[in-house]
Amino acid sequence: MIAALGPIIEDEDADVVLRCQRGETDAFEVLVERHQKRMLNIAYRMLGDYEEACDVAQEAFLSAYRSIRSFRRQAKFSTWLYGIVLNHSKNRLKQIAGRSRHETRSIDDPIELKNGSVSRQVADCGESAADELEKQEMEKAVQRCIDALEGEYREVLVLRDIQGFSYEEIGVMLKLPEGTVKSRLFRARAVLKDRLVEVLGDRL
Amino acid sequence: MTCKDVEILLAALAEGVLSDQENHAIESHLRSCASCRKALADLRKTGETVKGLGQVDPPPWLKTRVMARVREEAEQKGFLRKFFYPLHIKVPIQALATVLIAVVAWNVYKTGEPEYKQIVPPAAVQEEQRVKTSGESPNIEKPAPETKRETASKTGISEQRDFAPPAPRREGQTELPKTVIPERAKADEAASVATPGTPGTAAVPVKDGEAVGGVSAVGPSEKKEAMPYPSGQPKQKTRDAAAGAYAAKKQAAPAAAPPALSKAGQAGTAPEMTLRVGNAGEASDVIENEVKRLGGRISEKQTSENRIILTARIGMDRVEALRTKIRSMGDVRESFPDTMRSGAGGDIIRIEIRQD
Repeated sequence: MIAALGPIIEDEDADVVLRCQRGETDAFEVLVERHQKRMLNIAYRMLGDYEEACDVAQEAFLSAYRSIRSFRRQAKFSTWLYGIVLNHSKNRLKQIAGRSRHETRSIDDPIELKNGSVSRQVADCGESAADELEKQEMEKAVQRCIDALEGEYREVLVLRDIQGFSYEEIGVMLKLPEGTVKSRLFRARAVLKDRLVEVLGDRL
Repeated sequence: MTCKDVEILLAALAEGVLSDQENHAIESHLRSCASCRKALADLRKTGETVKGLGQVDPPPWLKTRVMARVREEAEQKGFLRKFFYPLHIKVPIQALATVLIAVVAWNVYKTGEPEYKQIVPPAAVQEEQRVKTSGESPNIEKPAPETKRETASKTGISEQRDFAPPAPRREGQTELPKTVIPERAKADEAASVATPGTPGTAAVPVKDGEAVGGVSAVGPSEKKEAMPYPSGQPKQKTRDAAAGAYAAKKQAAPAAAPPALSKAGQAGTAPEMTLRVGNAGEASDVIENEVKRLGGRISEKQTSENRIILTARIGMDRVEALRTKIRSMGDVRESFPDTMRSGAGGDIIRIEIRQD
């Protein structure tokens, strides 16, 4: 599944992007069609909420359209585009964090601990639960653990381990040197492992 | 190597980014440490779990909504780009506004100029006049009316030129040296020749025939020939010519243009002002009142169909105030000599009021 989403070798979007830059509005539809799934998935893994992710993806596409004339082909268009959705996601996270401070907390919200936060909701341990249901619960739990990661760990983990981008691409998107991307990623994996062990125990 | 050191390196192990030395150290540690072996196992499982996370599919409305907003924005942008694009339009609009303001301001200033002059109290004008005349250089005064005339309308200038030449011709009744005839007068002469002849002008058939084509067709030689006409002949023709209309009027009323006045500008002649207004009678009353107000008097008043000629006697120091007043009343042509002629009751000024 991930293999299909591996790094794109050449910029297949170049022609369509050029048409957009010349003012062909319809050409942008091609780009939306091509990239909407990945855009949505990046936003979804960053935010952990489907509705929010759809909203953010939409905003990211719009802001890409507005600034497409300033795209100078120094990177692949997709890398540039995913950088935009990543920034929108991070901004949305800040907004949500600001909002949640004023809202009552759900009993399912992660508990803040000294060494980080842990999801309070524990997967159903019932042996009789269907595999599919268990898988869904498992995914929810993993997503909660990802959500609990600090922003800078979360983005590298999402981009590398979930979306499968190369270190180089991630470096371009985050405007970070590759070395920094790697060290953050290793740290993110270690933290996530601890969380998952804590939450899932033997089921990991 | 402690468990803490190993834990940090474990995540990098799978990436293959560690040196051989580090790899060896980790392997030897793992053989002896069960907790680190579990940590590595958990890390691998975590990786698998994360990679196994499913993908979500975009809702069908996502693309539709994005494109709807993109198209909406494209239309707006196209409109806005035309009118408000920062670099291409804003600056020109500002520049245009600046130019417009400058033009309006200039027009307001120009149209308001006569009023400003009126606003200046007569005393101040007199004071200014006194300062000028006390220098005992009457020539200083001359540029003022001259300049005024220059700024007047084109017709004003041409008429002024027409104004002077006919008199000497009438006086001399002889051929004039062509060098002293102004350019314009030459043209008028030529124009009059070009005009289709009236019964009275049949005496000069050659010129009429040649010059019918227009003024521009009249060569220098013809002009030369046109000059020696007996005085009566050109007078008659000039009256018929449109270009010489003003001169014709002048000649039609000889009383209005005595030879002395035609020599305006020469020392010892009376200054003269010609005012063109809509209502000559009304203007005459205003000027008469103004003369009285300034301590002068009207010594003579000639009234004919469309003109009134006033001869005013007024103190030398009040002349400027009177001139200012008359200038404000309508289109004025002035002819002031270098030295003003002083009569018994002060300076004599001839004011001709023409009704258009």
